[in-house]
Amino acid sequence: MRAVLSKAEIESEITDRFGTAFKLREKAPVEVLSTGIPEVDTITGGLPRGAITEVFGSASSGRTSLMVSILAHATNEQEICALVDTNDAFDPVTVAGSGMVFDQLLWVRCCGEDGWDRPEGRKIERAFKAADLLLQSGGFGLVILDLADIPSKDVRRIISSWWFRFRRAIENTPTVMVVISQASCVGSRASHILELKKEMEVWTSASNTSTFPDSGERKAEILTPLFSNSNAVAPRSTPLVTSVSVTSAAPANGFNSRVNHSFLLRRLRLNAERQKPASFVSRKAHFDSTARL
Amino acid sequence: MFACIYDRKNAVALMDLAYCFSPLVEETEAGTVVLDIDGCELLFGSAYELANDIARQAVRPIEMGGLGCRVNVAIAANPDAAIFAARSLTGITFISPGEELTCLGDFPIEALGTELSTKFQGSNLKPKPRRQESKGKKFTAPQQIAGSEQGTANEKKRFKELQEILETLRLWGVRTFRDFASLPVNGVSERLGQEGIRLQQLAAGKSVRHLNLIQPAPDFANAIELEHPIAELEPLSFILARLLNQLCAKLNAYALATNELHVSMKLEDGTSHDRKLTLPSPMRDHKVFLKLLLLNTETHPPQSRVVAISIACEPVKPSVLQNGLFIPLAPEPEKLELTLARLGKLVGENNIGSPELIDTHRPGTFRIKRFTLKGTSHRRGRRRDGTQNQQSLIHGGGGQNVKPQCFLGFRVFRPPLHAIVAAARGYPTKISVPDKTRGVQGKIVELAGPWRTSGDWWRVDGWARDEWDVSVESRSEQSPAGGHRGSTLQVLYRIYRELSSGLWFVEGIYD
Repeated sequence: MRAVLSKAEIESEITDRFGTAFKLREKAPVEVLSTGIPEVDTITGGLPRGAITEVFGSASSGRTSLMVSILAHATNEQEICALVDTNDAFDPVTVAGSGMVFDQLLWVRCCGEDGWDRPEGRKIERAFKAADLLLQSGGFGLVILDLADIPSKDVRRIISSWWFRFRRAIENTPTVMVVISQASCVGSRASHILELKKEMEVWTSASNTSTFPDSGERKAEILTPLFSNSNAVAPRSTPLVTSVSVTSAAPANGFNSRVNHSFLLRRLRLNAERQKPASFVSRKAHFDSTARL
Repeated sequence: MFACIYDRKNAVALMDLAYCFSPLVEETEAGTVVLDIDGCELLFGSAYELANDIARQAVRPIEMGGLGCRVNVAIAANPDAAIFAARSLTGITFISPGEELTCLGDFPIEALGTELSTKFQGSNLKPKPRRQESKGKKFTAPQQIAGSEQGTANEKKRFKELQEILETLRLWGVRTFRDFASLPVNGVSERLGQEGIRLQQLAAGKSVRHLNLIQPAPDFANAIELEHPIAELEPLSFILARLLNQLCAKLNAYALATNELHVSMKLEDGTSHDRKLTLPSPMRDHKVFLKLLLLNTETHPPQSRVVAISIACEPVKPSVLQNGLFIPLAPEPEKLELTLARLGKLVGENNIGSPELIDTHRPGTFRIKRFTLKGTSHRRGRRRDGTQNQQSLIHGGGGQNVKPQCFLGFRVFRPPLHAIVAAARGYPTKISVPDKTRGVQGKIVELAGPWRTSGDWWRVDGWARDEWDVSVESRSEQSPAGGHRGSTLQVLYRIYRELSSGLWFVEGIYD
C-alpha cells in the first residue's frame, strides 16, 4: 500500500512537470490493404500497413490464388507493387484475366541468368537482397516475397535478423509486406499469419465420362467442348479429344481472352485459418478460387 | 558605357570578337554589335584603351582570333549613340557623356531609319534573315525565340510609321540630328506622337534602353584527359564525381535537368567505351548520377584502361510533380532508378520490370518491359494516409473497382519439367519427374482432359499438345511441396504431352 502510494505520489509529481507522460496513448487505427477476398478480409481485417503478413501452406493450398488476388486488388488501387519471385514461378499469362494492372507491378525474377537450377540458398539470398533493396528504397505500397517453392527445411533456416530488418524498414511506412511460404518462417516478426489449406477441387462438369480400364473407382472427366470447332470424336474406348485450333478460331472476347488452357480444373475450395493474432473470435474462412478463361 | 563595333564585311566573326571583351553583347544587326563595357576597366584599362584593344584585335589575322581587317569602334554613354557613331565615323570614336549632340549633330536625319530600313529592304517589307550562328556556336536571344512572327509584324508597322515621320520631318525642313533635337518636345509629341519623341531622343543621343543580350547556348558536356590510365572503379569514381558535379552545377544554374547521359571513355588500346544512361524522368542530382554510372560501369566494364572520359547530357526541363492528397505513395524517381539499377546488377537487367503480354496464343509467352512510374493524372482519388481501416474493410468497404473474387493461381515451372508418365489406354495414371528435387511423383488420383491446342504450324517452332489437369497423390516426406511428415498430399498439376515428340512435361502447379 505504501509502495502504491509512493508510486502515485511520484507520478503526480512528474505529471505536474512533464504533462501527460503517464496517460495511455490512444492507439491509432490500423491502416490496412484489402486482400480482394471478403472472406479473408473478415478474419484478418486486411493486410496491415507497415507490418509483415505471412501466408503459408502446402502446394495447391491457394497461396498463389491469394497472392494474385492481393496484387490485382492493390494494383487496381494504384498502389505500386513489387513481387520478388524467388523461383520465377509467376505466370503473367494466366493472371491476365484477374484484372491485375501490370504497369503497377515490378516483377523481380530471382532465378538470374542461369535459370532455376542454381542452389536454393543462392536464390533465397538473392530474393532477400532484392526485397531489402525494395523495402529500403521506400514508396512501394505492397512488396510480396514469394518463397512458396522453397522447401520447408530451407525456409526454416533463414536467419531471423532478416525479418527484423524488414520489419524495421517498413514500420511507420504505408508499405505492406507479404511473405508466402510452405511453412511458417517469419514467426513473431509477422503481425498476421495466415495458414491456407485446400479443402476440395471442382473439376470440369462432365458431359461424358469414361471409366478407367484398370480401375473402376477413378473416373476421367471429359471436357465439354468450349468451342464449336471440335473435329475429332473418338470411340468410347479411347479418350475423347476436344481440339481447339487457335490459329483458325479467334477468341471471342479479343486479345485478353486467351485460349492458352481450357482450365479443366474449374475451382478450388480453400480454407484460410488465421494463426496470428490469436483471438477467440472466428479464425477460419472458406473461399473459392475460380479458374476462368 | 557602351562600345559599338561595326563591320559589314565580317558580320559572322564579329560576335566572337565582341565576346573576347565582354560577356554582355547585343547583336543589333548583321555587322553591328554593342558591348556593355562597364566594369572592364580593371581588365582593359580606360574605355579609350579598350576601344584601341578592340581595333588592334580586329586587325589581327583570323588564325589569331581577329578579323583580318579594320573595324569602326565607337564608345558612348548610351548604346544608340555608339551605334550611330560607329556606323557613320571610321576608326575609333569616343563620345564623352553629355557630348553626344556635338558628335552626332551633323548626321542626316535619314540615319534614324537605318536600323529598320536595313531589315526591310525596299518596299516589299520582307525582313532579312537574321544571322544565328557564329563559328559553330549557337546564340539565342529570348526576344528572338518568343513570337518572332508577331515581332516582324510590329516591326513592319513601325517601319511604315518611321517612314511617315521622316517624310514629315523632311517637309518641315529638318535635315540633321541637331535640327531635330532642337525642336520643342511638346510640339514633337503633339504632332508626331510617342515614336517622334523616341526618335528625337535618339537624335539627341539621350535614349535610354537595355541591351538585348545574346548569350551563347550552354554546352552541357564535360571532359577530362587523364595523366595516368585508370583500371579500377574506385579511382574512376572520383573522376566521374568531379565531372558530374560540374555538369549538375551547370544544369542547376540554368534550372534544367537531364534524362539522358552519354559517357564516353577513351581506352588505352585506342578504342572507345560508350555508355548511354536513359532515365525515366529528368534529374540533376549528381550523387544519383554517380551511383547509376558506377553500377552501369560495374555491370559493363571497359575492356581496357581508361585514359580520357567525357560526359554529356541532354538538357530538358525538370519535371515538376505535385503529389496530391488522394494519390497513393509512389517511390521517388531518383530512388527508384537507383533501386532498379541495383536490382539489375543483382538478378540481371532482363529479370526486372513489368510483365507485358504478347498477342499470341503460344503458352507462356510474355515479355518484360522497363518499369516506369506513370503520371499522376490518371490516378484515381484515394487518401494516401488513411486508406482503409479494418472496420470499414470488414463491413464491406473494400475495393470498389475490382469485384471481390479469387482467381485460381498457377505457378509455372520454367522450363517445363520433363516427366515420365505411365498411361493406361491413353489416360495418365502415374507420374514421376527425374529431377527428384522438384518432388513431382506419385499416383494420379483425379484428372481432366485432354485439351488439345496447336498453333504456329507454319513456323519451325510451332506447337501442338494435349493438356491435362491432374491431381497427384504423394507422401509429403518425399515431396518438397510441403505438408506434414508422413501424410499424403494431393497436388494439382498441369501436364501436357507434346504431339510431335510424344514427351510428357509438367507445366506448373495450381495453387
